[in-house]
Amino acid sequence: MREHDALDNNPHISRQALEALHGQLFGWALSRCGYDDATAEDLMQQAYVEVLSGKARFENRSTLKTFMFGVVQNLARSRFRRQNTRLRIIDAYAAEQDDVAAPEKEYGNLKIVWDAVESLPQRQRDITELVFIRDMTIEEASTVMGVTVGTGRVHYDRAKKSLAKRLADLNTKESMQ
Amino acid sequence: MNEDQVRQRLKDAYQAADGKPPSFDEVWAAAEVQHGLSRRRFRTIGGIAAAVAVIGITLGLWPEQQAELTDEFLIADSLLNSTSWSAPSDSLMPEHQFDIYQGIHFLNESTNSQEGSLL
Repeated sequence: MREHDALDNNPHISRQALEALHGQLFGWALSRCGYDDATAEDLMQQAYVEVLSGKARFENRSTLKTFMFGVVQNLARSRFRRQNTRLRIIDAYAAEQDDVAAPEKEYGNLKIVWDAVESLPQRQRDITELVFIRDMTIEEASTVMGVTVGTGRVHYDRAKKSLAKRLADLNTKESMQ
Repeated sequence: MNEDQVRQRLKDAYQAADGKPPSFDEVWAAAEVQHGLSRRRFRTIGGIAAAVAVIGITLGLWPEQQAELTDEFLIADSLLNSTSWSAPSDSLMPEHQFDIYQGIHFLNESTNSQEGSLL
């Protein structure tokens, strides 16, 4: 069914539906690009262009949220694949100069949580974010990540165990204070 | 630490990192402009490609057509400007060897008649 503000090249997507997803999608875009606001905004814009042009076509086979998260994921993947070599050179240079600057998120207990998250392999980190933070099911998260549901479940279980183990100390620390 | 606690910890951490998203209207407007530009660029490139193809085809056909026109013109021109013409069969005729009138120095011509006949 075509909605009243449906896009010309994507009749199953309305501007209103995208607006409702905007905040969550931005969070996902941020985590795709190392929490760089400008890059995340650029990714969002690119995702909307893909939808406007019909290059990314939504056929109602999944939820719009899953579809849009997938679009951002693919865009980020292809963008950073291209930049990867360049970034690796820059990183190597930065590491030689001095220690990497402390991320802004390093304060209080959040640092411990982030350390735990960042210690996870990329796929485990992604599925944790999609399920815990972006409120997706494991099936939806697996679709976004482009893996089978079985693989998604394995990553999810491992991530959960690893995080619980690492964050257990945090609870002890807090109860002692 | 149970699953709910892990979830809550992560939510707090991500919430702090996610920050405030940019205005949807701004990002959408920028996307529409970019989409419009790329569509216009696509049309321009398509137009240029079509023009190049037409020019290429025209130029590709031109020399041949020009040669034909020139040939035709030359044939017509040479025919119009010629002052002598020989039939194709002339070359088959025997060459001139004698004049049948050579031996007759004088031809009697008279309009006088005798007994009803010309002299």
